[in-house]
Amino acid sequence: MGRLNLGEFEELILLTAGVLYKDAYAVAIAKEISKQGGRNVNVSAVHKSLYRLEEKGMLKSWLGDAQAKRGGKRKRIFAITPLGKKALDESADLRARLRSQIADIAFDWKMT
Amino acid sequence: MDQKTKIPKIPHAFFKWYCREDRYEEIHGDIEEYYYDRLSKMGLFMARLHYLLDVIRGCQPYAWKKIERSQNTKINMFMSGIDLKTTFRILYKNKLYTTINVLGLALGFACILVIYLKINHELNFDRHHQNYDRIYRIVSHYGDGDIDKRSGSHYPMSNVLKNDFPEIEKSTLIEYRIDPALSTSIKGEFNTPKTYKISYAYVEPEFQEIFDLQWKSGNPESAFSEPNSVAITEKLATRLFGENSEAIPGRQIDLNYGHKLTITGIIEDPPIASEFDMDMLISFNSMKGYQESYDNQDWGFSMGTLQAYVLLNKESVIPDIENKLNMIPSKYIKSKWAEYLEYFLQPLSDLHYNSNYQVLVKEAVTKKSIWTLAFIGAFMLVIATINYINLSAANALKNQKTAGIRKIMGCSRAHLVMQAFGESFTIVLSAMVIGLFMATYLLTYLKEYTGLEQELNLAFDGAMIGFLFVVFLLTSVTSAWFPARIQMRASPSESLKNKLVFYKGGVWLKRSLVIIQFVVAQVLIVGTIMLIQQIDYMENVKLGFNQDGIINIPLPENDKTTLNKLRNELSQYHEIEKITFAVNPPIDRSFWFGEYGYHHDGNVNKVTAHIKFVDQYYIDTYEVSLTAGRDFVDSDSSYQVIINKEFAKKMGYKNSADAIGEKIEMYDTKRTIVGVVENFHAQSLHEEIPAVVLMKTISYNNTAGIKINLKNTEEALVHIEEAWKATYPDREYSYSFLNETIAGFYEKDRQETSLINLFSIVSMIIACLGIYGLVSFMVAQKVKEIGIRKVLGATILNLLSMMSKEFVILVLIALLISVPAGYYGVQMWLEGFPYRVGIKPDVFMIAGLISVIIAVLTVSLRSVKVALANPINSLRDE
Repeated sequence: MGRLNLGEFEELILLTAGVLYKDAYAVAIAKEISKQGGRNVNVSAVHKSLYRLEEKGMLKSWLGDAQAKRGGKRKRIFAITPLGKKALDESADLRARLRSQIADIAFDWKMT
Repeated sequence: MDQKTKIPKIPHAFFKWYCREDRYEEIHGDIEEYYYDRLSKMGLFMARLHYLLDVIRGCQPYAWKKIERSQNTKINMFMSGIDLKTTFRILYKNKLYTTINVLGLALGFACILVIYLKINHELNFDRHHQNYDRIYRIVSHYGDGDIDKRSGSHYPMSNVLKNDFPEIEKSTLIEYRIDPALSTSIKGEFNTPKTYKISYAYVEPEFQEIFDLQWKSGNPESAFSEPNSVAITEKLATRLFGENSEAIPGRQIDLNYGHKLTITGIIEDPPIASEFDMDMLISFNSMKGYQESYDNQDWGFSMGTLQAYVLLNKESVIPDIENKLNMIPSKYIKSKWAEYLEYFLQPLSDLHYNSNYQVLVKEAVTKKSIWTLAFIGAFMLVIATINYINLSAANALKNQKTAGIRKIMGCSRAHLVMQAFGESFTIVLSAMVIGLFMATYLLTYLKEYTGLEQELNLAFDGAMIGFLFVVFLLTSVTSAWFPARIQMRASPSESLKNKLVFYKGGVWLKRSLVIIQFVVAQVLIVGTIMLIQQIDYMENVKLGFNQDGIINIPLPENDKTTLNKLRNELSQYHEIEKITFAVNPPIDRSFWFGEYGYHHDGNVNKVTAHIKFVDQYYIDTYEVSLTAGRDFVDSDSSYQVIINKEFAKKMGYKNSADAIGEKIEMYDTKRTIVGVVENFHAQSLHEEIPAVVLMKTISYNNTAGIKINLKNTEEALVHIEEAWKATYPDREYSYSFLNETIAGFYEKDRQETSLINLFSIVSMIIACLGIYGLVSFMVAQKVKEIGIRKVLGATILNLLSMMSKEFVILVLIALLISVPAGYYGVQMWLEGFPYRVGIKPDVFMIAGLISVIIAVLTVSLRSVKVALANPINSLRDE
């Protein structure tokens, strides 16, 4: 495993980009993560990961439309590529597989 | 858009400067979107601050321009590009010097940051309440000789405050509790109760008007007006009900087996810096019918956790209200002891800092200890800066030749000064960044030790950034000043001829600084050793009863038949030796106490004593030794009591056996003393042994004490749980070993120790860096001398001892100061403990030895290189 290397935060970004679909740009992603994950995410961290994921080919992007609330500037919209989906699936599989291998006894804290 | 709300210019220019053009639009658009968003939510200042932070944080490779060669010269912050380059080259060339400087300073910064956060946390307790300045607690002083300072109040106080005091706008009683057993209902069926480690309180409806609560749902006005209403925090709601919080109001929870409460509201979690961080607030009128001791006419009952808080009018005069409060005893209480009672108003701003009164559950932190901490922090920073000044001065001396050449090449004095400042800015800035990282690690490490729970969060605290900025300016400017002066004065011809300019004047100053550093380090080392010894002593002293192999179990009720059943269940196992049901073990955090009258020659004397409600097996189980009279027997009732020697002494009996047969008045009834036991520690060793009276009754006996055979601990634990399950099939079972409980009393002391220990290590490191700086300074000046000595036949050992002699003397001088200072400090600190270890001289010897060894090692580290060097190199250099 691990051929498609994906960091924890990158995975989060990738997932959120997928969730937001046509509306996935940095600010929306950061806000979504704060909302759902309850952790404060800085927009620069999101930028960094987005560009990195694009370099890896897991995201593709294009410029969207300009808005007044952004001082009339256009935003960059990101979308998941097939490679990105594969990376997400592999990561989820690995987790699920490992989780299912934990014996129930490991969760039986009364014993110790 | 309004002129004022525009994007701040300077950060914007900086952003434009570093950001690559093809990404400028999208990235800046994102930041701008945040800016306008924050503008409407947090105001101009915070929005601008966050914008600046975003720009700084965004300055990362993904946003950078691809630098072309020609653009390099455009870099112009406070130096020209050449200067920046030279600065980095100089710093890189002197790697060791740079690293030591940066690390030493970073350590200082990390310490002061953590201390700043801690102090900030402590000083802001409960400041979030809007009426902060008008909230007071009613406290009382009791007694004519020994004044007993009380924070507790009486139930009838509620009505008196509301009816007789128009000056008091609002008032509320708060009754504070911890660790409730809670269960929630699903379709009418309550699940098994579980004990939660939270605090909760009974409050009157006015509570939410006096204190600020943030309501997520529910009507604040009516939330506490009906009996059996409860408001819970979001945190608790999530723990009790899981995620779906919308449907919670109206649902029921069961408190402590049978007290049904209806949820009337959800409140936001209170800030950590608050004394009122209860997770559950229950309407005060729920007490009627539930709480046995509740009687709103009874002035006789008082306890520390029942407190009265008032919100005063803006016009009220404190002494007037206090005078009026002091009419209460004669008007209402009418007891013969009421005349000794005096009321005071304690402002909310004093609550967290006054250790004379019990707070709620958090411990008071005195202002004195906060300022001591601030002083330590400032000191750490000062000595760290001093080191840096020493080291950079030594380095500037070495680099005089460079300065000389630069002057010849036409460099202006101002430029040289700028260069020195640039160097210092670079070092201080990188030290600050590393210090921030160190502080984050330090914080996670200290979290459990200092009660700091907030994350180190730069972004949301303008004061923090201001603080960092001031520290940065102070350190960098003071430390750049000395090297700048050396560089400025460097005469080109002299420096090229290698005639170094010496500064003799500063040497003694530097020496005294090293002495101060070592004094601090030594005092802290002595402090650490003494703390460890004291805790060791407290944990191992004989307490006057047996603590080994005792298991304590909280009992849910004290019904006689169930207790007998439990006793029978338990006694069938041979590894369970003795069983007692009592209010608590001989030593405990909480205690009951009262004043008991004793008739002596027609006068009533009072003895303040702890009271313990026990059964006839108590003395035997805990192996308290009986010195006179007899133990309780089965036929005894609550009319027979046993006292300890201290009680007999307070009654006036030198020979405690004489007290036997005397009567004392307790709860309006005369009771006979049948026995006297040896004194035992009823509280942690921070407190003196109190007078204790044991009364045989089962009404309050809610702790089982079980003595087991330690050879069969495992079986005993299993059997106790079986016996429990047979007796209380649906009650939660928990147990604790008494000696672990006792060790827990000293947890705070252990935490203090590790904090002081940390500071002593840091101060030792900084002191070492101090010597290192001074040695470097000396070596820079003495290279030639060493060379000549070597030529004349001095061995390396000779040279090393020549170099270290001075420092050993300095350390010894430091010892002369730190021994009395440390002795005095430790003495003062130990006076807080009634039972303490003696100060032995070997502690100071150890501290002295450690510092001498470290000093010699540090000196050798620096000078061995020079001593080993070929003398030709140093002598040829003319």
